[in-house]
Amino acid sequence: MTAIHSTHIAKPATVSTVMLKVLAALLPGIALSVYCNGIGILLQLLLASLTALGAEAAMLRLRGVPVWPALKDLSAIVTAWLLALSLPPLGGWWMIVVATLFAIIVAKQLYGGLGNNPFNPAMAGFALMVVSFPAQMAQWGSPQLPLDATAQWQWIFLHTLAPGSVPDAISSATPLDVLKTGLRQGQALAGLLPQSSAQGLIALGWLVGGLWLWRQKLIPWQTPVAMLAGLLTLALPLWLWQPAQYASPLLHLLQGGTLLAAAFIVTDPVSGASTPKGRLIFGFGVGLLTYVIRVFGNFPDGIAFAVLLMNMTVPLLDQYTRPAVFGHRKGRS
Amino acid sequence: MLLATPLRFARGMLPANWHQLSSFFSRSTTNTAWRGGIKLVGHKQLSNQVPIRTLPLAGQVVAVPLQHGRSLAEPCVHIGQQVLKGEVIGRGGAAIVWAHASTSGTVVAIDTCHPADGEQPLPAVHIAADGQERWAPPCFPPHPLTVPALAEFALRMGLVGLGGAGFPTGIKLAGTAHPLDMLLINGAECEPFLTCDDRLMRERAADIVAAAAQLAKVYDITQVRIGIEPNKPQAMTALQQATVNADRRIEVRALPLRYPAGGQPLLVKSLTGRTLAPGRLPAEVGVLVLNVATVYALGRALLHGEPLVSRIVTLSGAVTSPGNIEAPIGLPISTLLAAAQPHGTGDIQVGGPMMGRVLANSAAVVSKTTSGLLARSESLFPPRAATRPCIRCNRCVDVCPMALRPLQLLSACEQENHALLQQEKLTACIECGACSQVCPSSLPLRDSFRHAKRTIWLGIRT
Repeated sequence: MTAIHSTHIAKPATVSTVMLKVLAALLPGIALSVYCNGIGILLQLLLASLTALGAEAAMLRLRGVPVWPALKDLSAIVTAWLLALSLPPLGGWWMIVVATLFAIIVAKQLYGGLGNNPFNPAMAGFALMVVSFPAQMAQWGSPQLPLDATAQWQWIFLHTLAPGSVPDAISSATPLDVLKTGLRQGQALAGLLPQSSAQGLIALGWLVGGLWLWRQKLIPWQTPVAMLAGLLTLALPLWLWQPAQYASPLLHLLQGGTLLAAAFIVTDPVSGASTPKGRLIFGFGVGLLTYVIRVFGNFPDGIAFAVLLMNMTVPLLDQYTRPAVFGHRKGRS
Repeated sequence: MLLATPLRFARGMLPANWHQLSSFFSRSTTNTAWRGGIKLVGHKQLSNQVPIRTLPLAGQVVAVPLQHGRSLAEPCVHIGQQVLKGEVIGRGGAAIVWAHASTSGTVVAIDTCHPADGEQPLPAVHIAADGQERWAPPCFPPHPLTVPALAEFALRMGLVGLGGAGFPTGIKLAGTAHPLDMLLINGAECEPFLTCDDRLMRERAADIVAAAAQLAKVYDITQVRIGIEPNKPQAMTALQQATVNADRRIEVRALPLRYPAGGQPLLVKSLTGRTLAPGRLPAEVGVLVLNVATVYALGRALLHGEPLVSRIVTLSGAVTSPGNIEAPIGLPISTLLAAAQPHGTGDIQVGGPMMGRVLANSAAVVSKTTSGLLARSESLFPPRAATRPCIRCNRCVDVCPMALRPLQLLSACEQENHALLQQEKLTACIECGACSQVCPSSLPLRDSFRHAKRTIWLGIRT
């Protein structure tokens, strides 16, 4: 055995700093989300974080892996936050807890922990919830009728509303859902469009965070750009063809966490493709599938399924999009 | 005015090399760009401010190694014999690098020594220096000088590659049947801290140019190109001035300031645009590549009849008196450290921080490939974080100059899957360590590849 002679210069980053920067990049979006949807989102983030850390620690102990170094890398918190930001902000406390437990225990730790999970844990947790509890998952708070902090917390934990509150405040569907149901019932598109710019504002927060991550060289440009391109490839021609039937591409870009996914979810390196071309195909596939599931499928949003489906293609993408080694022609050895 | 800030922001968002996009669209010129690599803090000014020094040798015992790689010379002196500086003390037949007394004095032992940058002890002749530095008569090459005669001469003058690998220069010069049209001289010195080539180029540019011209004449090569990283402007100027009077066309060219710009395939790419595929010899693309210090040593041999008896060693890191020392081969490392005066008692790094290693034996001596001694401190050499699982962040792939996929290679190494290692082209790895450097999980990427290359190579041979 030769002695170990590692390189000996300052480390630019560790896994912990990478994850910390991802969390920091989420902050603008979270702040805007709190501004638009109320303080309840912070409670969801807290619940998700505590659940994720507890589940991660328990699983690591069961697996006989040192607990502290793995908790310290903050990857569980990233998964927890992404889940909390994808689920309805006023969902019952058990929803985020169940989703996080599934994400950490099944989608991450049972596959071998950080770095070994073929599926994006947050999206696996989201998919479980949307399949198992479609009704609850469709209930988003209405930004027009904000509840005060106490009422939000009461609703999340006790599922009770103070007398006099409008039930709409907690049970209105997402704009995408309203749109799909309405269009199927033959309503005019114009009357179904969201009345507030809250979602668009939050989307800008994700965009800012994503651009910062790109500048920090923590995410590649290929995946997000390809995902948005994939979405627009279907959204734009269909909208131009029948603007009365299909929502505008802008709506698809700003609604339903499209930009959250583009910046933070499809860019997950562990479950995504690792070659430049592979990333382009991966992102494009997610974008296309998202649109198809959103518009023609039965679920309120399609991003989670699109990501999970494309996760399955990653080994193939990596295999067939390998760049040529220096001095070798592609495809030859 | 209102537009200024968003415009600046927009410009900030562009990649730093945006102006090179134009060359992307006009592929008419030769493509000399290579992908990957990393920017490193040079720490060059620590040791490049003072001229090359020598140390008094009286009372010292030098241990000159007789072995260079697989070339083992037979000692031809006996204990008690008086030797002169440059006198042959070890010789051998074809493809054997001869050894020479690196100072005048008395042979006191024929034993082993530990080269500072080696793993195994090597047979060596120990000479007690008399401090008078009396030279043996010079030994000049035959005239007219042919390529085989030059190669033979280089072996007899003890020349090996001074850049790091220590490959016998004579074997390289003997070359192959391929016609050569370019001599490339590697003055990149892309490792941080090291400045031995920098000082050599600044102070002895004329000798380097004369040697290069002589070599070009022997090979009838029309073009000589010297590649230097642009963080050595004085060295570039000195060489440019020296080339004015040269009778051959010698160009000084700036390399990209990106580690590992001095790696052989990348140097060839930068200077000629030719692609040196892994496993190929430079001669197959018509070039002869030599390190600048090797060219200088060849010049001393060809023009002054001096064998290779000394090399320039950088002393840097956390030391009181950094700089460069022209050290005789076989000088104890302890003598050099006494001259450098390290601040603490921390480990000593032999060679650069990227490709070098920690000094394992305090009794070690300077070998022909000992390029520097760096005193490690917490601030200059921070300890590495604990190893974490791979998160497939792909940085190793982005920085690999050979366009390998270190993350796939590592799992192949761990599985000892030889078929996969071959498919992922392990043998193309130049062991530059850029992947290990950027890995946020501190995975031992380069070390695993190095180890796998050795074991596979052994496996194929046995």
